[in-house]
Amino acid sequence: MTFSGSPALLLLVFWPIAGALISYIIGKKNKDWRDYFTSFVVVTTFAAMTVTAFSADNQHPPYFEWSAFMGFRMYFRLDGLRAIYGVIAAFMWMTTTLFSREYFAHYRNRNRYYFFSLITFGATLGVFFSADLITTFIFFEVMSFTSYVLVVHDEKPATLDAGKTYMAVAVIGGLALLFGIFIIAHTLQTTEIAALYGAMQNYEGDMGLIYLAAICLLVGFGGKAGMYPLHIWLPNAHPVAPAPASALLSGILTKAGIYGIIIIGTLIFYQHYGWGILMVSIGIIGMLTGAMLALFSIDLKRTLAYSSVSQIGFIVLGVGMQAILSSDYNSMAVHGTLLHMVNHSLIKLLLFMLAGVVVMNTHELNLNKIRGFGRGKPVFTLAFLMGALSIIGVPFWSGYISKTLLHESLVYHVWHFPVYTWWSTYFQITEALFTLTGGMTTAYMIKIFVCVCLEKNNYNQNKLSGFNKRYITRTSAAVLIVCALLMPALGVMPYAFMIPIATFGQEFMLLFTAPYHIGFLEWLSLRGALASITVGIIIYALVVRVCLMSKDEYGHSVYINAWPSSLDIEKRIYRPLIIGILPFVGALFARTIGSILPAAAASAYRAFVSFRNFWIEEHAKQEQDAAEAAQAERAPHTQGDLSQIAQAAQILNMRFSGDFMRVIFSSLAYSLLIFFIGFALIQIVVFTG
Amino acid sequence: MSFWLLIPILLPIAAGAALPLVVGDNRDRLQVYVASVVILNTGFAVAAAGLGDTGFRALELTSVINLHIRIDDLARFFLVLSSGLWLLVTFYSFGYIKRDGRDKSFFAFFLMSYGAVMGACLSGNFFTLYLFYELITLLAYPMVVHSGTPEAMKAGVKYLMYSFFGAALALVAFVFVANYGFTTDFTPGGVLDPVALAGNEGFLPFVFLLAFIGFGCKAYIWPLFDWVPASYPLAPHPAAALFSGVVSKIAVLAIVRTTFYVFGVDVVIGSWAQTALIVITLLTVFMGSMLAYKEKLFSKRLAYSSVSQLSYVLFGIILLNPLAFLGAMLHVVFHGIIKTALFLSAGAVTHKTGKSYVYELRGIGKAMPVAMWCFTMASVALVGIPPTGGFVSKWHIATGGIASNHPTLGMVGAAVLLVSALLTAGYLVTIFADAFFPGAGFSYKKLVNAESGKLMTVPLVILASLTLLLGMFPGALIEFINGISAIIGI
Repeated sequence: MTFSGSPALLLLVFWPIAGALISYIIGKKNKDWRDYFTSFVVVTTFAAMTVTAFSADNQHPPYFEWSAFMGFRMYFRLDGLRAIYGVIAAFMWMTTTLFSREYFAHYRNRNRYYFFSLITFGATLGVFFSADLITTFIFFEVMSFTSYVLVVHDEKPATLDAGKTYMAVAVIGGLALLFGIFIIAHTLQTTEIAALYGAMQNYEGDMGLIYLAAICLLVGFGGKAGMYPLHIWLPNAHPVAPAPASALLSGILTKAGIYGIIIIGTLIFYQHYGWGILMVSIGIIGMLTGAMLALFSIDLKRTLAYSSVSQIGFIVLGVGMQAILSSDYNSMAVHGTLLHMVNHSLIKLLLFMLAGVVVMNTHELNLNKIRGFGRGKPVFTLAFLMGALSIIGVPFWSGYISKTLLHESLVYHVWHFPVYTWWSTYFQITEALFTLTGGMTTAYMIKIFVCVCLEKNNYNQNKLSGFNKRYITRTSAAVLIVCALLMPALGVMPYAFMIPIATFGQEFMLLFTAPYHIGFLEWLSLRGALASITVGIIIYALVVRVCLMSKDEYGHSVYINAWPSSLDIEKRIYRPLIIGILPFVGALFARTIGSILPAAAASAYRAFVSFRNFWIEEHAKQEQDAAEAAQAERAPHTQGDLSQIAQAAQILNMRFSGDFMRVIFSSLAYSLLIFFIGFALIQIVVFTG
Repeated sequence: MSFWLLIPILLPIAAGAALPLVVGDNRDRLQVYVASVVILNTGFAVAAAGLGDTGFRALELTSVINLHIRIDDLARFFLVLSSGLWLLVTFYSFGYIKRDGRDKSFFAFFLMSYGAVMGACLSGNFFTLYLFYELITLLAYPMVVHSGTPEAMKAGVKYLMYSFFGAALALVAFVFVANYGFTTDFTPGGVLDPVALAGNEGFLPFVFLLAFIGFGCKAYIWPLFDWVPASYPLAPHPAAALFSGVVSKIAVLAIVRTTFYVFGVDVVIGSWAQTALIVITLLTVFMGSMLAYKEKLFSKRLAYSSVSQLSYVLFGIILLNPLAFLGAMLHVVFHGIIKTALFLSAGAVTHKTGKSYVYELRGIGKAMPVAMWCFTMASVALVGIPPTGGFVSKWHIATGGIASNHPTLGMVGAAVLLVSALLTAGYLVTIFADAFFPGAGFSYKKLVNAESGKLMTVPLVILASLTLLLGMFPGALIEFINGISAIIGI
């Protein structure tokens, strides 16, 4: 075992894992102390993480190398993006764990939840620190499997069903990822992430293998990221998972997938136009599909889950744009991608915790049931408003900055086509769809904000208002306020906070200078956001209020789920394929091939038995004839001697007629027979040769 | 000095034969007797492994037919693995085997098979290996048919027929080597005499194929694996664990000996037999997993799983590549530990609750947390999830395949391995997920703690922690195996 570098990185990863074990042991004895201890673990990890990240020198970042872990090299680095995401992960775990104490107060199996949550925490830090694909994979798998326990925590039938989807995506994605790493390790002869770029530049072998590897990696990372069309676990898992777990899944586990997508998009395919187009296409389809489904959904957490699919689409589009734009002009795309990751983490953290507040009070997620929950709850309403404004991308809120950067990079590309081509049309359409998706984002956020915080519930507003003033503890309220105030704080002064964050992380995407200056308050920048918001308000007024609402029997307007249930990619395609068709074909194949020899042996045995029976019958007949003949000839006095011999023979026969002996002897005889056949064969070979 | 090598072989055989005389009808004395013999013998085995490379001959009838007992690195590897697993299973069996009178014969043959396994590990030429290989078949037979039911007897016959048929195929190779080799002693790099062989090289791949499949019978290679699903579910779980964990590894040892110490890498590499065997092993990997996925009987599912996993090892061997060989030998260790743990935990469940179908196991994790935790650890390791051992071995087999002299088949192999891992997840993860997440309707009030006694759980816990610990720190193992592959020159 040889270590080198800074052991602080190893400690940061293993302290939560050790904490998980300790908290489990404490939890067996005392629940309160367990809660204090888990809070202590996450707070100390966050503090240590922040200190390590801020004291890091970006020129000589801290690293940690353990050359014999599992027979591979465990290699951590803490530079740029890794440091940013380490801090965000620690922040998210701190906030959700503090919030969990109240949320889980009436749940069973809490010990199990904290145990697996802290292990997932350590593993997630491991993924973000990893500087070698094998290290990434090791922690990625641990993260996937332990987070399953968080998803299925309440064990209701729908939860277990969603858990199956989650597990299937995790397992299949993990294996695809591993296959990709096999090929990368073979073709590029390295799995060190930073060395992939250099290895690709010098690579002269078969590019087909690299594409195969990249697709496999994309399936693996994309499945975790919730990238279209592998997003199926998000809308299933989020509504049923506990709210703190949803916040973590959506906010940080998806980013572990994005981390990998960035590695493929920049280090393996640096400035690869084709890959960029693929990413942009996947991104734009995901954005649109997610936003569309979010608009139709009438379940608060499902809306947020589809919103995640949509926002992940924005990020994937950014990864594509930075490959398409030449390296001197892609800084906006790079910064947009990084900042949108950060924003989406923080926004979804806030919004899912708010959904958690709703669930823990009302135990409902249906918009019609929780309508009006926010009335008379200023902290809740304010926090919700901050999250909504930020995700919509309203100027002065953080989401505006990243969306504008992504949008401007698209616009820049459209403007800089020297001549009119198919591709320029393609990007013009993409730009229009980008604005449309922004509009749909606005519409579904207005929809849930208006529903939860502004409208009055026609049936049980009294009950919902009854929670006022006692719906949340002080700790949780403080956590929510801090998270909510981050949005405008980051957005108001982009050049003070957000752009430096992006600049700090940009080297991970091989961007070393940032030659752009955007006035975020200039008309050129503002008009994209304003166009989206205008479109959104129109969609809200014309689609949501008109098509997605109707009157119930008492004449009150209610939200309806107008999305046809048959349009479900999971139930229509994935499940039948994976549960029904493929195993059937495989088993048919396996059974057919497997029964060749047994069937042959069985028929040979049957032939043998019928031959033996024939022989025995014939023999018996002959014996009978002979005995009859002898009977006629011999005198009766010889009978006594014969019977003595017969008795001895009978005794011997009994000795050896036990099943055990008979089987052994017949098998030995059989084996000898085969031996002689083989021996004869060989002799023939020897003598003829 | 080298004479001492006989002790780990003869002691358990003699002790097993003397068992009915020594213990009489005293059941407590039986446990003490068996435990002390096994502990002592494991000590001797480890001590033998500590000797330098040495050996001796006995009963020299001819230059081919003689008893050659020898220890080298490969022997050490299998010696320590088998004796360690045997020790753990012994204690488990005390808790598992019912004290119904027939336990005496079970433990007598249990001890004698131990000696035969030690003999196979320590054999120095083809004849000795063959002898002990057949001895294992015979001495382990009473353990297979322990329950004595007609079905078990029938399954036992199937087991014997397949085993003898396989051994007979290997015997053909033995005769061939006796004719065309300098010697039949195991020599790194092979023993075939090119002068004697001149003109008959065309037969070589065929004979190799026969030997590989013949010895492969006990390592469940297609088309000779049909006895496994028939006999394992009817055998007691500790016996199934030993078959899957240890006896199948002796078959792997025999194959390694024939491939690298008798035929030699140069003869096999690039021949059509190699290609054929790669295809056959991959086929077996897929078929085993697929049939396990479709199987509902718990121990039969594990039996099919062994079929698939053992072919991972054989695939790694036949690639004839140091990386793949490393993976294969690591998988010998990890699969030995994992499958023993799986059979033992399945046995704990069936023994305590009588449940033997996978759909009956909902919520069992709440009643038997230790057994099911060990099952979970072992399952995760078998799927190959890091940081457990299964990942390390599979990684090396797959990368070895891609880097071998058949890169395309290697790539297909890596894909088949991953599909099989997916199926493995399909048939194991569902079991422990149901066991630990019984659903919100599960009644915790009716829950009774049904955990087995310490005799059964402690070996399980040791095995489960080994899957994780050896997975995280396999450095010494890797070094040792690389030493072996340096000796045999791949």
